[in-house]
Amino acid sequence: MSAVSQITEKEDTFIKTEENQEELEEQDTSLIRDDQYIFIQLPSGNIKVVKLQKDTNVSLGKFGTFYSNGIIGRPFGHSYEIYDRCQVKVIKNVAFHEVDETDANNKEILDDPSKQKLSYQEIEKLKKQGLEGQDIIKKMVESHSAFDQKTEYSKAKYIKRKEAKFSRIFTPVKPTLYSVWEYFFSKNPGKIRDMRIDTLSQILSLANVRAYTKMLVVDDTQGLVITGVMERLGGYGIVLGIHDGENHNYDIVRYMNFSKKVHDSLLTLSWQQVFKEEIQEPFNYQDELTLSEKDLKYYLRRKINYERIRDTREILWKGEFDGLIVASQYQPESVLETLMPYVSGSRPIIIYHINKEVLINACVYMKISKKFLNPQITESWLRQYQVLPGRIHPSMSTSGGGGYLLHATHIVINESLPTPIPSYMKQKDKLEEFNKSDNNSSTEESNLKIGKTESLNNENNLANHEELQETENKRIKLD
Amino acid sequence: MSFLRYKTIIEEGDLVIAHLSRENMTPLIVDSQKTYNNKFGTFRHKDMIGKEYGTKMPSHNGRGFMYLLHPTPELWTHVVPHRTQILYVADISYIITYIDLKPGSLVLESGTGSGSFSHSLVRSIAPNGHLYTFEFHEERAKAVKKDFGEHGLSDLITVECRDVCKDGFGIKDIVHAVFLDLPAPWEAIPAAKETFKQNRIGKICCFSPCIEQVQRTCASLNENGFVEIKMYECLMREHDVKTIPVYTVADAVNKIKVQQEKKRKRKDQNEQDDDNSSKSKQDPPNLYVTKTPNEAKGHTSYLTFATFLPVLDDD
Repeated sequence: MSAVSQITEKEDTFIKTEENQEELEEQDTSLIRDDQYIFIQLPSGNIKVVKLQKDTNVSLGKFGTFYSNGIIGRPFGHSYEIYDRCQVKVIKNVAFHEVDETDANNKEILDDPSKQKLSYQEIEKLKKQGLEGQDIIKKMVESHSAFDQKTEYSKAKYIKRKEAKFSRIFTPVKPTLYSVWEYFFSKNPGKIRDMRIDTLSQILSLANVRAYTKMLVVDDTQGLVITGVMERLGGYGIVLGIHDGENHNYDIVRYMNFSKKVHDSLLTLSWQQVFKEEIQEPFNYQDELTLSEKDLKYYLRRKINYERIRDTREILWKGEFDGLIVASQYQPESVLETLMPYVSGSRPIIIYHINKEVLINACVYMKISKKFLNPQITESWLRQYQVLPGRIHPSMSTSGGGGYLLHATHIVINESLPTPIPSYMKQKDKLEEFNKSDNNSSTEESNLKIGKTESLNNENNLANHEELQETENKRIKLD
Repeated sequence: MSFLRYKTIIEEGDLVIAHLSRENMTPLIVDSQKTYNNKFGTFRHKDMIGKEYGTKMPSHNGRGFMYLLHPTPELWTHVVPHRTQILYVADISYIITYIDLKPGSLVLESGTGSGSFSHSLVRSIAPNGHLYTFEFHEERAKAVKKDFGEHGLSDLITVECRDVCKDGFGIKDIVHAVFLDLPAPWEAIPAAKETFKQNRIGKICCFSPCIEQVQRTCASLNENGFVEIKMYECLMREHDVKTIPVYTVADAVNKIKVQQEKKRKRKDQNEQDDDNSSKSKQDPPNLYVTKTPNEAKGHTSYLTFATFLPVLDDD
């Protein structure tokens, strides 16, 4: 009896420690930690990425340098001001100050740089003396001869402009899917195939990504899509990334500071390794005891890599994936031809491209193939607003487009079931015409299908409304 | 548990979304005693058992077919009974990313409405997160509670019938994110502030269709110490693919010539060469194009976001 109770006790403590660990992990992601990536928002609005190390100085260029221990262990959210060269103190953040209307107007304002009595050299001198950013701005306001003539709005604007230059306030930003995307999109949108965050969010929803799913992802976005999928899996499930080149280039993944558990959910294969006919070079197993320390290290690395590829290929070929996401430079039809056999029924297929034209052809391919339900092209539209009190309006300039999505649901055609034939299938001539115009390799196939299905036709000749609608559409297109 | 885990094969008692067309879907709980009749024929539940999800299933009497789909939050939005105003996929997706939900997140929602958005929220935070959702309409709260139970989500969702603007949320220092879909979110913001886990950063989203609501919401968020107040609109536009023939100017000239020819023939009352003209007619090349629908969603709601700051020790 005691043995049994001991075991349960042990299990209990095990579960408890696991729970604690999860809680600890959660707690940790909201804190700024040593040895993790963080984004730092500078007074100029620019963002700098830093791998934080304790006991080091972090340089923010002209905005100064701070000692990393000053922010390690603190929660994300607050802003800090650099003082005494390398020390930091928390700044009380506010969203916005109410600006009062006054009688001042810009009638008397002339564009005249001589109004500012403080010269560049003098300001530099003040900075060298270690004067804080706020004090420099105060001094500049004092020595501005026409400051009082400004309207309150332009006073606020002036101060904001000076802050962007002289303030020493920075904000550590927690790496989230949003902030990581923001950094890469502003730095080099081409690298993430111009994918905007609203489009990425829609991919993750439409693909029904969540814990306990097994996702197949073709990612040529530096790992942005993979990063999103990994985060939503939270370590429960698998994401298999098919990548360009011999080794993957999912650079973005690392900035999320994922736990080991989340990292372990990522598997990768190159396009070559996807195909069964590409035989993997057999591994020459050796007796590990006979190897020197240096050789052993090299040997083990090769062995692990060999086994990883071998096992991952098995996982792919076993199939039953819960969805396919494609954000690739390669022709979508060819990707579908290659990977659809590994996707289960009633699972989502999402293809992203910045150029709609690429998706149009893929959509036609889907419509003809009959393995896809409701293929549809959508485009996301996003607009940000300025929300200052009494002055709400859409932003003057915005991103011009966030890319297009082609999405559909995978359909299982069970050969053993009788198939009711939609009436348009009987209109052989019309369909042939449609296929001809298509110039698609599947023409022959479809025609064969028609021949085959015609014999089955007689008993099941009432088609669904939707299919009739489709016929109607096709007829309209042809006429 | 089909909302939390995928299944491959349909079994007795499973939830299946019967897809007849894009506009016509019905949720079915598979019960081998039952049949489902619609204009496409008779479908016996018995025949669904053992089939793969996603199967194109013919009716028993061979009149038509339907697709047997696996439930997802998106499909549930289409078929949800006792439906109130629902959120659209563009808004849902953007909100979930912006307020940073992932497995393990603790999130608050008010009001629950038909529970459609709750399904999306809980998908993102399962298996170890929790959703606290508040609905002041008693019948609706009961109905969604029943839905959550049937969908195996009860462990992850706490539903409470409560007027949060008057009585607050009754929880403190717990959640990481708050979503308010209320007529007057500013009335609930002070109470919502207390529900946040106080020592960490948090995100709030207020969902309002009118700009006046946004104005009051922003003022309240600012007063209550929220920062980074940002507001967005997000919509999804459809592009329908079709083929159009591309005629050239030469075709236009030809068309006139053909008409003139016909006229002349009619005059001459000579119909011998009638076949000739139709033979010379050639099909123009086709072009694949897209077209946006004539009517589309132009506005859903404004999404107002803000950040909750961790409370400092000296506050």
